Amino acid sequence: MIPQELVEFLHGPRGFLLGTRDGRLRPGISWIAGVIADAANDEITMFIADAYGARTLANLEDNGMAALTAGHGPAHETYQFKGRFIESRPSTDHDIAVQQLHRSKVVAHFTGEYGEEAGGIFAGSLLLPSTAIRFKVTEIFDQTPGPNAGARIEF
Amino acid sequence: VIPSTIVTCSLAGVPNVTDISQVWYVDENHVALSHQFFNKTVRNVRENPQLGAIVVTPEGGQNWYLELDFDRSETDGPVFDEMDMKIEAIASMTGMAGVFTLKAADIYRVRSVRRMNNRKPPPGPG
Repeated sequence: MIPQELVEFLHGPRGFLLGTRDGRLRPGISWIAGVIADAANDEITMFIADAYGARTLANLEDNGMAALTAGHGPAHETYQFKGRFIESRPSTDHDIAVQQLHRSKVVAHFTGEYGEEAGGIFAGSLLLPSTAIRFKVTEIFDQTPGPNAGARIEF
Repeated sequence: VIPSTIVTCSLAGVPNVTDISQVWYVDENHVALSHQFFNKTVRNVRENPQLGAIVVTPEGGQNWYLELDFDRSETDGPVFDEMDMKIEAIASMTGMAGVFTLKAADIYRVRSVRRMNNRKPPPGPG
């Protein structure tokens, strides 16, 4: 199971980026606008804005390989979740509520830490329409800078 | 300080994402990436030299996507020295003194640069 402390970390005001690759091993990367972690099934559902998600979705349909990072800016605490794509679908009303909640947390967090301008960067990012992506987590790594960077987290 | 994020891919086809402190302009066809401690990234680019990088404009948050190909690694010279000095400044500003150290300036050829469509359009008239 994905450890509970990581589930809580994922549901906080984190920055998410999803790495994929195409059939020629050319890597690609996209912002992710919030996630839902399902610890019991080792799955993560994440949301990507359709405005810039086409290449990521094409890569996932092509080969299924995915690497999601979740980072907490001020502390540099970062984890990487590697796994395989399961499916994608248009975001539901519940999914949209999760994305909006995530954005409000991020805006509040960055405004509190760095001021209105920093919060505004996130408030002005594109969110909808979006697609929900489900993926199965097979490996988790600690990427926090320091002596444990790169260490595998057993689960 | 807004870090950049890079993605690489192993020969086995597994992508890897990590933050880095600096994407340094070298000339109109090259940038240098700070090689600090990302061992997986180094292994991947030695196997598969293709790399993607998101660079964020601090004013306004516009994102740019760079497609890069690894060219060479430099451990001395003017690019390394300038990046090393900047890394020390970034480390002291972000509480990472002693953790962020520059091992090399990795030079990449720029294959493409794309403005990412990540911002809401400004409000229209009326």
